[in-house]
Amino acid sequence: MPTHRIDPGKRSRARARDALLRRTRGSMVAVSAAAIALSGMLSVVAAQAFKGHRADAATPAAGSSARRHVNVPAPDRIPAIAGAPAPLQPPAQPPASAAPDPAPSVPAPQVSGGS
Amino acid sequence: MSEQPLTESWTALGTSASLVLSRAHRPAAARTAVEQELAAIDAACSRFRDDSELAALNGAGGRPRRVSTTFAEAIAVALRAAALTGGLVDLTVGGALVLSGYDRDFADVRGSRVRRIRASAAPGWRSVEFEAATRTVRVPVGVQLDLGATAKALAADRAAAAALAAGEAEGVLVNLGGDISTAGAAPAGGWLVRVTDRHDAGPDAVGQTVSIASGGLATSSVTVRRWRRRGGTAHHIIDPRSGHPAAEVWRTVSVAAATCVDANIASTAAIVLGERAVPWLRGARMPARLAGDGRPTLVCGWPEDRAVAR
Repeated sequence: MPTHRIDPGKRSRARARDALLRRTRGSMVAVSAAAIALSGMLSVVAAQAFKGHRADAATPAAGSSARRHVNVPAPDRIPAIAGAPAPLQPPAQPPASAAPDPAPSVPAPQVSGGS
Repeated sequence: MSEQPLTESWTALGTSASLVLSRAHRPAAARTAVEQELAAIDAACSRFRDDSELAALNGAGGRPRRVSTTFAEAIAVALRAAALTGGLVDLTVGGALVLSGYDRDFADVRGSRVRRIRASAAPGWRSVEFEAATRTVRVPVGVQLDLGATAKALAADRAAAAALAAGEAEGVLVNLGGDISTAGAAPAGGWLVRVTDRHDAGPDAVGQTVSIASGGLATSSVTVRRWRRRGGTAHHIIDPRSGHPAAEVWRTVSVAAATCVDANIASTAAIVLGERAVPWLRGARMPARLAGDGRPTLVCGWPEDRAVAR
């Protein structure tokens, strides 16, 4: 019956390969666990940073009929006009009767009427 | 530079525009400056342009809007007019104008079919929220603004000032459909103005020719922008208290003031005030000519007519 002899060099390489596979598997487990933990932490941070909107505070889409019911401040919350307005100012001098024969340098009359 | 005054006329803001220059070095630049001012006011304040700031504000559904400096100035001027007149010149009459039938460009209103006049009192200028520092405006849902009473006069004042600077002129007069504003020095003999019922009437129309040295002059009349409606005729000057066109006590009122805006505020308020206009104008010390039936009523130094009324 023939016997098989294993080359000592081959046995040594096989052990080294097995050891390398074990280390790789261990590294993958560690990286996966770290990724899961980091993802959870980022989710918590993002939830704190961006609060979002309450459902009852949502604004309707432009053009929808619901826009008529949007909540707005009551009238006059901002003063319509600040302080007392400047009074009407009369002219420096009232109009005068036009001269019957105006000088050539005087432009032709402009018409002021309702429009 | 021309020693003779230069006059140019064209159509703008749905009416006639005229620019008169006295001793101008750069008349073309003056015309350009006026056109730019009118374009800015039109883009901000037109009720008949879908892309105007006014249209956007009226359609904002009650939300506040930040507006341009030009539109903010127009809103501030309109609110001042309302405050000074106790709401007789009110920017919230837009809805009442629409109800009365003036809901599109006037050329189309005049030719439209006869409809029943409806009316609703204006919501009132105090319902408009305006914060000048942030140029923020809010109008309540359903309120429609109309700046027609003051925006054209503001355009005349702004255009005259701009033309004076750009044209390097000695004096400037801008006439926008009868709303007249001057800037700089008047020519010897003053700026001649024919006050009459219609701005598109010629210089020989029934009325009076006066001379002004500075400031502005405006005329309001119920004889223009009239249209037929079931149950009567309507005109464009709305009494905010009723939402109806103002009672026709005065046919035409002309007022002189330091600015065209102030002249326009006073002339519009006088039409709405009716019989009470004369003491009100006297109290404000505004020279005015009120034409109704019979001889015109003259207040605060408005001169007698030298010519025989034709």
